[in-house]
Amino acid sequence: MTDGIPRHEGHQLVLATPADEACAVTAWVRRGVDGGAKVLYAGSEALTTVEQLIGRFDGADVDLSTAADRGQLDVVDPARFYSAEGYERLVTDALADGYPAVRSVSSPDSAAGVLGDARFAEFEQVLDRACRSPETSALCRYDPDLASENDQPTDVLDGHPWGWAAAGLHIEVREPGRLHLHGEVDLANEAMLEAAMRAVSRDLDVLVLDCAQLLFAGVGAWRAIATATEVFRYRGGAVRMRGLHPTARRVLAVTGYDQEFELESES
Amino acid sequence: MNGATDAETDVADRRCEHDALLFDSDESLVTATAPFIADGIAAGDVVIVHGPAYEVDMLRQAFDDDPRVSFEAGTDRYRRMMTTVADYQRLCTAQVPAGRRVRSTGPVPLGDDRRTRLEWTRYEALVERALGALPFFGLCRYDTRTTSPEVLQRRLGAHRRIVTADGSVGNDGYLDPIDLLAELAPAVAPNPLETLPPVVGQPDCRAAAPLRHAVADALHRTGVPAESAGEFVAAVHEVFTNAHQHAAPPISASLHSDGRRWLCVITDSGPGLADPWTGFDAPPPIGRGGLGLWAARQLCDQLDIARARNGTKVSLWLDPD
Repeated sequence: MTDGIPRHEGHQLVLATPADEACAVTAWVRRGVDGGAKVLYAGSEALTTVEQLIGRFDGADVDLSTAADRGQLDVVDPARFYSAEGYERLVTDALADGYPAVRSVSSPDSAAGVLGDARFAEFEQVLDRACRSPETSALCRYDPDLASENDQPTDVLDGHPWGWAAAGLHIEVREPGRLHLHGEVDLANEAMLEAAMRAVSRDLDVLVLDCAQLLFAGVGAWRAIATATEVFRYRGGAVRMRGLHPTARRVLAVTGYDQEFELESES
Repeated sequence: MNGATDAETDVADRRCEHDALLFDSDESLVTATAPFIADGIAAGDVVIVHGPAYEVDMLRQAFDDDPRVSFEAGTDRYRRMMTTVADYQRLCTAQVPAGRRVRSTGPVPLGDDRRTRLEWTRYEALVERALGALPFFGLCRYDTRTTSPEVLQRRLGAHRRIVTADGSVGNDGYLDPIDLLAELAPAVAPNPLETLPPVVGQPDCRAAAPLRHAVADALHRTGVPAESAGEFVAAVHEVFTNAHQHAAPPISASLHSDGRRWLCVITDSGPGLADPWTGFDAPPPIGRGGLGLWAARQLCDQLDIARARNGTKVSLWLDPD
């Protein structure tokens, strides 16, 4: 939170199957609820009521019942949610009701009954425009199989310039050229990490990775970053790492990847 | 080598040398070691003399504490087998552009128990293979007064020449590293630690994160230092990932402890390693695979791979002391 307003997290992406959606978005939803934001969840054929949504998060580390009781949490009819006018009106109304911020959760799956793929891409632009305002943050859930399709991951990631998440890893762009890595990297999310590094290293001289919240990264993580930034570094770009934990430094040293990146000294 | 400098070509032509030195007195130690050190100084080599303080100080005195020699008393240069190998590889590689060789003399640990004795005998077998193309000359010192004949005979098999105060002779008992390693292959039979009830047991392990977390929690609960625990968890992760990517399920994992040492056993139903040297050789070029096992070997105290009838068994050891 900043000055009583939930932190602006912009337009972000999470890779998860429909079955894993609740687990994947719990932290996002919790931050919104705890920060007093209005949380708008796009409904679908299978999700039409707040009670159903609360059931999906049963056992998760977030209290949705209280939020729902006070009107802070809504499941929105997809026909209303997935239109430029509809979404903008939802945001305007929430702010007019006194909420300091608005955050939403949506997906191509939930939009399928209302929008096709091409029109969902157009709707993403609506979200992007809305998220330029510091009061609005939006999270889009995509199926993780997209991370393995040629070219598509980078296109999908490009459309969510604020950050990406998958299987316990959250990559956040808080300012151009500086990424914060939260969580753990392994086989479950290395492909996304590589795609994200590839997307973000364009048009930069220095890419800074803040690793203070990176709790685990195997050899595959450093290989993914090295592979994704190989051309970037060949052309003179630098990948600078901050806040590395001791084990991460050790893995970088034994693999030789410490010679490929700039590792800032421990403070 | 296209594009190589004269210095680089000269050094590359010299193969790794790996001799054993036998001594049974202070005088014979100095007499036998002196030519090795003197030749290294004259050639401009990186000369390292390591070992117990008493021995290192004797040799330091014999050479008037020559600044061109690195006298390392009581270092942890030989704490973990694969770390020792990797460190020498890095040191030697760094000397290639300058045309310098690394020359190191000192004792190889005898080991406190059968397992660690075997591990350091494997080290001796690995030196020529792991450092073969690098500018390395190792002279391994053995005090015949304190080394058992059985251990000595096994260790000598890894050395092409035997040096004493009387000079150097070829070793008729030299064995090809492949054959020597085969003799030292890990047993498939369970280690006694495996008979203890597992602290962590995952008979059908399908993802790395739950295994990592379970092992990390177990180590943390019992007060294993964070640095040691973190590296061990990383090693377990790499072995599991290797099995997940290249072997066949089910992959089972178990963690055992006798209150002092830790043993993680990971088994799979795959065909095993096609190349017995996987994870022992210097890392492949950046960006290609093969680094996981290489890293795992350096992140734990010992890693054994045994080929069972129905799959592969990897044992990872942590000795926090």
